[in-house]
Amino acid sequence: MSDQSLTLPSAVSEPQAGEVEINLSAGEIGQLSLWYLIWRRFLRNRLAVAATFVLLLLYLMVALAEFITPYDHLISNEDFVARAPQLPRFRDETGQFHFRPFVYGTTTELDTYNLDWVHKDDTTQMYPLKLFVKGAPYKLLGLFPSERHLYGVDAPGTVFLLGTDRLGRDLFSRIIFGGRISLTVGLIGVSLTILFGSVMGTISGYFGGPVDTVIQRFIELLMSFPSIALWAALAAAMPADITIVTRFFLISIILSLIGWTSLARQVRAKVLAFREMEFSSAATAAGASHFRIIMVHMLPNALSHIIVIATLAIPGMILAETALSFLGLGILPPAVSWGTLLQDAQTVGVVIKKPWLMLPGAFVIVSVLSFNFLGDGIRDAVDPFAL
Amino acid sequence: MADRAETILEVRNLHTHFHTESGVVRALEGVDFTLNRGQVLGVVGESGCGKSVTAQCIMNMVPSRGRIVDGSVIYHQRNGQGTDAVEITALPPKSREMRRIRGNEIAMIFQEPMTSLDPLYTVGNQLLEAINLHQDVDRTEARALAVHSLDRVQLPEPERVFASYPHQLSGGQRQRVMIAIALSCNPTLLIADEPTTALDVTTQAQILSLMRDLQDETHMSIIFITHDLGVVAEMCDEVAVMYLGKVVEQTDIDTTFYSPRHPYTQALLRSIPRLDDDQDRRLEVIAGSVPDPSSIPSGCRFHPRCPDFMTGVCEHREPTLIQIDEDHQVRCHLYGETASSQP
Amino acid sequence: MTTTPTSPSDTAVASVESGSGQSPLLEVRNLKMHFPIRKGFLKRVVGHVKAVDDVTFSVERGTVFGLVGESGCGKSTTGRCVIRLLKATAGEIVYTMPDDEPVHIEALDPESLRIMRRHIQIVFQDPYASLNPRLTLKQIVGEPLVINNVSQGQDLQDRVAELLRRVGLSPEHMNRYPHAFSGGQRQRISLARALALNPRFIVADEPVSALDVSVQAQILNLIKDLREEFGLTYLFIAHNMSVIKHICDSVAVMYVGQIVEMTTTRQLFRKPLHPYTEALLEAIPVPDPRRDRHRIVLEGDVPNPADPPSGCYFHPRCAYAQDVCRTETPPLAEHTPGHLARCHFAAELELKGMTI
Repeated sequence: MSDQSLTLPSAVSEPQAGEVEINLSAGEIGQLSLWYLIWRRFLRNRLAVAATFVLLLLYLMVALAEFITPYDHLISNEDFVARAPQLPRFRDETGQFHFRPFVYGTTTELDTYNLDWVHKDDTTQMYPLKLFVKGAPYKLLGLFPSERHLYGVDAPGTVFLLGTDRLGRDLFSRIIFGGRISLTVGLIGVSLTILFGSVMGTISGYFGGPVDTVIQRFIELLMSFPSIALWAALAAAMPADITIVTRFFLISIILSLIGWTSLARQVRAKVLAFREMEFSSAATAAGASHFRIIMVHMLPNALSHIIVIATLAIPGMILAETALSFLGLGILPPAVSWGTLLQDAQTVGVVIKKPWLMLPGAFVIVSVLSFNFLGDGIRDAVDPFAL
Repeated sequence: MADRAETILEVRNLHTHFHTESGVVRALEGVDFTLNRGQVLGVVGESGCGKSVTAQCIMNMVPSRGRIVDGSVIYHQRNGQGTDAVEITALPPKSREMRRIRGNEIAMIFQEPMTSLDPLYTVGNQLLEAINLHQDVDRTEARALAVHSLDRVQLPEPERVFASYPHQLSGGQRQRVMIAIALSCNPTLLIADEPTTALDVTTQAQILSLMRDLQDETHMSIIFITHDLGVVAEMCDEVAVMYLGKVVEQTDIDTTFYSPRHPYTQALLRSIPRLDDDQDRRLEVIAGSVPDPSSIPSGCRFHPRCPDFMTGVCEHREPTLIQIDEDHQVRCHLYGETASSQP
Repeated sequence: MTTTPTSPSDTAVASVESGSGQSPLLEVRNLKMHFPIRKGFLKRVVGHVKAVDDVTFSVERGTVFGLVGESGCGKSTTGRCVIRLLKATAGEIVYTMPDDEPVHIEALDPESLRIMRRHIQIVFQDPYASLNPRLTLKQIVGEPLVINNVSQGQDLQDRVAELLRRVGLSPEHMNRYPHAFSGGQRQRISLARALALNPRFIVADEPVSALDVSVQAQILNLIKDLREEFGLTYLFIAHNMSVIKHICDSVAVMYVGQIVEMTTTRQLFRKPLHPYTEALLEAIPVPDPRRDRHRIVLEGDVPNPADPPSGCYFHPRCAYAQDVCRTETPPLAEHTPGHLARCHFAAELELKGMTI
């Protein structure tokens, strides 16, 4: 009568899955699927929920980039080269309060000593910020033609909330458009990772034997490459004449080429454990096929782990893309990503004189942290129900 | 009853709660028992009855999320002339005094000998650590003591075992090592938390026999926690039966098996398959299963499963522990508040 | 499950009657299961763990055959070989089909094995690991029916409801998930799943070992009831002699992969012939404080099956061992009719049994 699992003191100190919802009766909980219970636990983690909202907001912004941004991110403007951020103001020079926020105009002088343009706020010109202004025409989500932008000021005023780059392009617009590539490269890369990782991991763990050995040795080989060098080599080997879209997909594939290995190992470990669990044996005894056992008994149980691992892998992908583009091996101009934007911030001079050019880095940090918080939150929610 | 035997440990009205993120789990809700010096007390119950938590409370080692909210554990420590009563539950768990009591006065062995030993150190290392922690001896003396304690638990070739790593030993040998560590500082009270549950029957018999021999030899007091009534019958002088965080009956071993009074004890005894059964005897069952600690029934906690359930009483009022005989306490409404004169 | 069950009592009577004259329902002959021990980078085989080493027994229709022994004795491995969850290294497993056709389970191709599996089912020890937490009761109990295309839709629902009722669960719980059930209830669910295809033979691998004392009795009674109701035959694997005594008609005692004694339960308990059986009986803690507590205790540990002792595997622990036991392996010989023991001195020793 070895009921260790039942008499461990932890059965009291660490409530089991079934005990979690004290305010529900056993019958009510019984009706709830594990996914629902996991969801309820997830909602209790404030940091993870906040991170989810941040990420949703970021993705919404990049999806609606044309509407959110006031300017076309590709159009340069030599009158406003490297202008500092124009922050919306409520009080003017005289200290008078304005209900509607406004920005000042710009006066530009040439600093003959440094041979550099110097922009100053022209306090005589005030441009109130307006919502839903008319501007350059575009197609929202590629479908709906429109020329309204979320915010803007009347010409000849300008509103560069986060300043401009060295060609006078609005940095905020560039960051949002850059996020389109940087944030989606992670998602696509991770989808490919999940696909490779779970298929290879499942095959390796379920069938074992020589198949397993071959796959494991191959994974070890891949993992032993220095990843940045491998990425760089593969990226450098890409033909130069391919379109931006192709290049983008190829980079996603390159990133997931190494990313899948760790996922495959973890899926394999799970499958190995599930194979020994008696519910798989019971299914075998009932005549279930290998396919059914994998699809009904193994993958659904491994899915929560896969989601956690995948979520935690996205920031790595974002960082990798940023790193590649920063080195000039990833996304190439005129396409923008956070990595290409950060290329502008490579010199000390920029860091000292034009610090706003480092702002794309802040977006990288926020999104990477949010993905990490989200992944941790999912893991904490999944853990008590995991096998 | 205090006049004949000397009490070594008193547990009074112990309440221990665990604060989890989903609410309070009331693990112990009234645990009372008394242990006399030199006796073996069996604490018996099914999963979730709180027997292991009780042991943790006695050692003052309740996990961080748990709190003793009421009641006390009083240890009567021998000094030159008489005894000092030490209220263990009033001591800070990490205090010097508590650390002295653990090991020197009270030692504990656990269910899983595999995980209670550190796989990275030899048996000798772990024994010496325990000895050096509590005794002021030099290295050669400590080593001699360690080898002697391995010999005392009837391990063959104690010198070889001294130098082995835990994984080189069998489950039974590991449990012997655990007992050797626990006894290395000659505690007066040993708490054994399901020490044979993970072992095979023949190994279990060896360990039980060893513990009996050691008890005969040292006259230490033992609290033996188990779910196996057979083990209780073999080992114990007194029995406390627990159900869902409460002691429902405490009496001597013979009365427990031959004239138990609590319906739970009675039902438990009827439900176990016995070797001397007629093969066609249908096992009597206790209806239902042990409720989840988070959804405890009102009134008497056993009432939904009780064959002697009295409507209107059991589901409303919580029974108190009633002294029905000199050495027999029962927590059941059947015996009323004034039933102490019953034979 | 292609035919609706006939009146349960008929089946039971029929199988008991057929027990004497006909061939046994299951015969296991010289079953061996050797697991290779691999070492080193190239995973070379350096030896074998003889988990099951030449095991022969047969199970009569309508009876409960017990396999008892300590951990590592090979009892569960034997059970898994019988239903081909493991492919045995050698030996024959012959199952008699309802039309009296013998089928060699060890030699079946995957398709025939699938068909075969309707007849033989298994119940596992661990009530937590044996149910997939992502599926509802309906999906779990109905899985064998779905896999074998026996039933679907409303019919599936009705059958699952009926099965749940049979094992003492409420059919309304069909849409609940296993986490809402206690250990005992989960074992009932496992039994319902095992019964779904209306099998004739069930391997019960320590089905009550992980349960609370008060729940154990419920499940044992249920196993007994189902046997009568469906005319089932069980291979019952356990380490607890009291449970074996309670439920089995005949027993085989296993030690280090071998059967050391085999006979009817009554005979085994009354007059054991092998010293290991005697020791097992002695070792069981008896819930009776008036019984003498000081008894002979078996010394030493179960040997490592990868490196068993010479001669009789039991000799290092045996109180009666002689020189011959160290050198010669005793055969499993029939000493009295229907009573086999693997001991050189089975005929001479006067071993202590239980008074029944």
